[in-house]
Amino acid sequence: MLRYLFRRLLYTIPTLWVMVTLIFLLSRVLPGTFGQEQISQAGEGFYSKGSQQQRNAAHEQLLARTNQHLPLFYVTFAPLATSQATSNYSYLLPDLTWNGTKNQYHIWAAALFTGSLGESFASSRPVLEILWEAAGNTIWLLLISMALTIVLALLISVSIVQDRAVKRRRVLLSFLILLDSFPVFLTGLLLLLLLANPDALQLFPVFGLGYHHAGEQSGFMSFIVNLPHLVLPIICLVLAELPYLTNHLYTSLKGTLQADYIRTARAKGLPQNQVIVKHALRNALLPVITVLSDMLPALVAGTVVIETIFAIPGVGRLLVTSVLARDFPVIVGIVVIIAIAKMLSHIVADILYALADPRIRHNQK
Amino acid sequence: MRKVHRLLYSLAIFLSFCSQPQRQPDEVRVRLSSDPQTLSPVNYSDSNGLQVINLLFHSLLGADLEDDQLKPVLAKSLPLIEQKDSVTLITYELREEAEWTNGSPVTSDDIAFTLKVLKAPLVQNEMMKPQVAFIRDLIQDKENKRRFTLVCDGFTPEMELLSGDFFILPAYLFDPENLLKSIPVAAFTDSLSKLENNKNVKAFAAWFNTPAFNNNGQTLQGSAGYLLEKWVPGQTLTLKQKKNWWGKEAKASNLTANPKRITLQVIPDNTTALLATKNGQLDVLSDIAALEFDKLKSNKDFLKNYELHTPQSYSSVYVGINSRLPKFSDKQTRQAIAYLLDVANFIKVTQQQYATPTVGIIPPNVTAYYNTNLKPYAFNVTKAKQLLQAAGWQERNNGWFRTINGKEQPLTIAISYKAGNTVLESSALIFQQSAAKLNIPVQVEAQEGNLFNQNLKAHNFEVFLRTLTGNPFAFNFTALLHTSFAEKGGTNYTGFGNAESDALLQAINTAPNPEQKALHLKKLQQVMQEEATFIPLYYQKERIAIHKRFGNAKISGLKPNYDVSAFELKQ
Amino acid sequence: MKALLQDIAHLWQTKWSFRLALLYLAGLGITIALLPFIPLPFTPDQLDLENVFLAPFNNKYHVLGTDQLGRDVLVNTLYGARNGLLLALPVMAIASLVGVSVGVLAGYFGNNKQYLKRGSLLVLLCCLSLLLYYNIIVPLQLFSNGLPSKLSYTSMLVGVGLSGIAWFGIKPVITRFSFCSRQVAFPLDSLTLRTIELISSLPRLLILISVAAFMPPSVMLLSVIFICTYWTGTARLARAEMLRIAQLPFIEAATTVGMTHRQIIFKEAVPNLLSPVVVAFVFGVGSLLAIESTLSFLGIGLPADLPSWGRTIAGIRSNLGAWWLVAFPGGFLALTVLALQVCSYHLVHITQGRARQ
Repeated sequence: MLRYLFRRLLYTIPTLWVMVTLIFLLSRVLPGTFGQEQISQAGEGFYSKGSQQQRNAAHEQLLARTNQHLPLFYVTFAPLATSQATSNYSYLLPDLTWNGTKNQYHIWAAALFTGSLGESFASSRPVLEILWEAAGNTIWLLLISMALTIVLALLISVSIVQDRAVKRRRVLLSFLILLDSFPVFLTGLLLLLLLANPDALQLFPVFGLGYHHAGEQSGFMSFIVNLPHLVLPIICLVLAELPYLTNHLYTSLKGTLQADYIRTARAKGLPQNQVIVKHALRNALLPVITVLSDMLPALVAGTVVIETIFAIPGVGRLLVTSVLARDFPVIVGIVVIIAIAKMLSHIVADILYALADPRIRHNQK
Repeated sequence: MRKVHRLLYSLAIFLSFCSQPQRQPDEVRVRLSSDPQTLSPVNYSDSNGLQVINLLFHSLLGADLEDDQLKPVLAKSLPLIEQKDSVTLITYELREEAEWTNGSPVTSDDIAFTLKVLKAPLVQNEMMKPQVAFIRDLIQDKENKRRFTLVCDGFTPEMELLSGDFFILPAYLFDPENLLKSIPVAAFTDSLSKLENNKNVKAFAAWFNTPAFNNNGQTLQGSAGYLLEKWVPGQTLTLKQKKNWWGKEAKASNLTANPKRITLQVIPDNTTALLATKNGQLDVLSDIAALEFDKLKSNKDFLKNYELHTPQSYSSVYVGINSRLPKFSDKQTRQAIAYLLDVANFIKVTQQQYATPTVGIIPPNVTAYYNTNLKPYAFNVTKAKQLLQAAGWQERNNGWFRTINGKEQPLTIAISYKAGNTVLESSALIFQQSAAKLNIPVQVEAQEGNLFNQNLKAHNFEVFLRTLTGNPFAFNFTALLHTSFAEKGGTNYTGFGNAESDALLQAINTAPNPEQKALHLKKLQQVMQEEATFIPLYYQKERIAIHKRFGNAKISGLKPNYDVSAFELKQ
Repeated sequence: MKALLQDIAHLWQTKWSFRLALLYLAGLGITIALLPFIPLPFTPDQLDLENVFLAPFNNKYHVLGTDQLGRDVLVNTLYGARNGLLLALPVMAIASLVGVSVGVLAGYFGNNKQYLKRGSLLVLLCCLSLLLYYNIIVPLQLFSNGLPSKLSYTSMLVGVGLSGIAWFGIKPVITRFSFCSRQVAFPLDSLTLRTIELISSLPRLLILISVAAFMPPSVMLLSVIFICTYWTGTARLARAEMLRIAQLPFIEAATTVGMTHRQIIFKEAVPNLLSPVVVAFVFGVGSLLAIESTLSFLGIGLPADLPSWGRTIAGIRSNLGAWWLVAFPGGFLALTVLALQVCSYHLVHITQGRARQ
């Protein structure tokens, strides 16, 4: 088992590297650069703040300061010249230039080896620090909501899979499907309007992760104090994730219950509840692992909509703002972290598969 | 089961207590729609950043939101301006009381240092750098440490404003090793390439381009009345009133630091912010959606605690037509389009009544310059039809056609705007319907912000809808309307202008007195209306709610529409 | 096919919920198909600026009320159903098809059931990079420079031609060399997994925002993006299920009996896959039907004159009291997804029941 795990991790590294490179190159395809809009837009208005020429110079200084004036990669295609393309077929020949190590990718990758994801163009803080902060804001939220979702999904699916629960099953399943087809922003909005509105019920504070408190508090205390703020986002997240998970769990439970060995167990006269929990659940969890392992990174990536509505500064919002501002180091940093989370969760899923079903392990060798 | 119920009830009661946290009355809580990118006083790029930096640092001059007038802040009085040959000399004297956080006085050394930082190469100053490029040198008065003269290139009417519109940095805190002291200001104007290899400049850039000068309350200490206590990115910015602040003795009504603590809460979504205000979690809310604002007006519970304000703002919505395109190069065609803009309905649907139609680029509340002899374009299909016919367009079953350069062209209009702006989107759709009455097909296109701006700069558009934020200070429209800015990449997107209008713009800038200036500006409005290339539709009214326990809010049409440092607790 | 019709007939007779759902879906389908020919008092984009935010059931003309621009909610709900289903069904169908095929192949063949000659692998790589350059990079550059599309077609032709020459001309020659003729296992499973990981680690939203930075998204463009990102979920489910099924005794038995790969996959494995895939399909359709409202929440510009449920629902953001903007399209959305769910549930149930017998 350990050797398998080790090999799996070893294989992951080159794949990850290829992915990271691709992500880096793809991100730079976005048109525009950081600060370009703000610098050029300062010029329009009811009086002029500096000439066009000076603004261009300032933009060039910004590019040089952040190394964006360098070529992107070791080799670059020369851009197509318009005249050349229309006159003959020479545009079909790739025109490659070798840039040596003075290129953006090399500098970024070299920094990555020292464990740095670069610095944000906007605030010049290390990207890792920014990411850590953003993820830290949402980690409690996500863990609690995920745990709640799993528990609820298990409870619901076990309770509706029993033969007696036909009515409950119909109602619950339909309800879940309905819930899932509703856009998340609407769920959030409705929750706010119903539960945090003086015109309706005012149970929870509307936004954020708490207020400014004089004096520092310990981590746990501040968590308790801020708990009321987290209730609505947690409900919203659970409602968003619950239907899909429950449905999968239910389907796979039902499939397992029809298997032969379960019938044998039932024939032995074991009560249905016990059959489900003791025998069926373990096997039924197998396909659910896939769903869960897909959910985990999605949770790290955050849910922009929920973060926006409840004013929680998480990774999702960070990603959107940095894309809009073209803060490339942050964009690439976030995507790289998500990719790593994805890889790890897939490995975990594979291991769980192997643990749950010994036959697969044999095959992998 | 009963136990569970009891637990739930008690939980609900507990939570309802949590929902109304205790508030300190002398703390003002303001909403920001997004986190400032940086609080660097020489490199801020957004209005949120500016609002916060204004509470930490002072500039020489500043607009007082009480009456929207330019007033001295760190300067003792408005500057003395002399024009000499090709240069302008602007002489300032600083307030005697003015001092930094550590008690040392603000002197002309600090001003010189600030200019060096703003002009230096390698340093994070790109956003503000172009704005002070016109200042060549600074001459310090030998006898008076607080007196100095700025030497500026040429002359423009906004020079007075711009010469006082940058935040003054404390040299003792920002450059403790005096790295820039030995280099004169003039050196930063002439050849930057030499300075790029200067050891001191390099060392300063390495020291300055760090997060400490972007977000740290320990270093970001200016002469204004507040200190940055804490910045939790994406959540809150907390500012604390300085003890024994010098401004209290200055006896100037625009130097204030009244609230003990100011908290700026980042809430991106408008609905959330509105609910938070209704809950009493916020004291100030601006940019309230028009329809919700109307509802608040009749909400008694809300009015018990909050006061609503609607100052006339300086932001307008305008339509730009690409006059370079052959089909729109004709004046009458553009006028026809202007008659198809149903401004009354734009205002009714998107702004309720919170906007004023305008004849031109001058806001209607600037009565001295607003041309009251003109009438704004009003929706008129017959007029539009006549104009199109006069321009040589022929109406057929499937639309309008005209032969341009030997080729028959249909009249189609693609109208673009920045995606996500519902006000502009609704206006574009209304225009589409109005144009359909004349059988003109209109394509409505929402474009992502960056893409939209790039298309404008590349002249890759037909008609666009856009907002423009102005101010009452200089009325120099060269960048927007002069033909020298009409090439690709320039800020005159519509291609407005000819030799005559260029001369008019020049005349506005060199007008010797306000009467002359008014004459030229009124002429400009008339020319712009006739040309119908750049068509301002209306000026918006801001919609603000402020908690009733505060007075002296200094409500204004200028952003941020209120001066939070002036808020006073009512007795 | 005949069996399917029989199933439907059987269900029709025995299950009233199935009958109801099928009737609803059929009704909806007919309405959608005939919608352009039905004489409605309004077109979906017709504005009525005198009657903005009209509440439902108060007005003779606008029975279900109007939105922020006075557009009729009833007409928009109907057209929204049309546009929504015309986007969601094909997108999910194609995505599921791609996902199932890729997932099944990857799960069935794994990493060591398919062999290729080294030479072929080499040529394959060359062909892929040629295609990438001539069929993607060059046309994109030409497009962004605003050059005539004829040039792009030439380039694409050259790309296909060159790779054709490589595959049919060079490959047979190269595989004669002993080094190149050695057989290597083709890691189909790993390759698929890595591709899925790459695609799914780019958040869908990031892709949408990035694409919107190049051009305003059209329905076609959105469909392509959704297909490209939605297939991975189905593919992973299918692969996981296939891994499980491939180990079951009856597959081994089938191989020994002499069934071909294709027979095994289609006869034995695919029916077992049906249930999770159909669940994913219904959920996917549900989430796509109102996706525009989320996109407009994030400020991604969709054509503003495209009637959709999402557009109507998003109107509530400018007037929190206008419940009818959510209730009617939302209700239809719910009913449609519910009907799809009921139908698919019963069908899957009965097909699987037969497969087990």
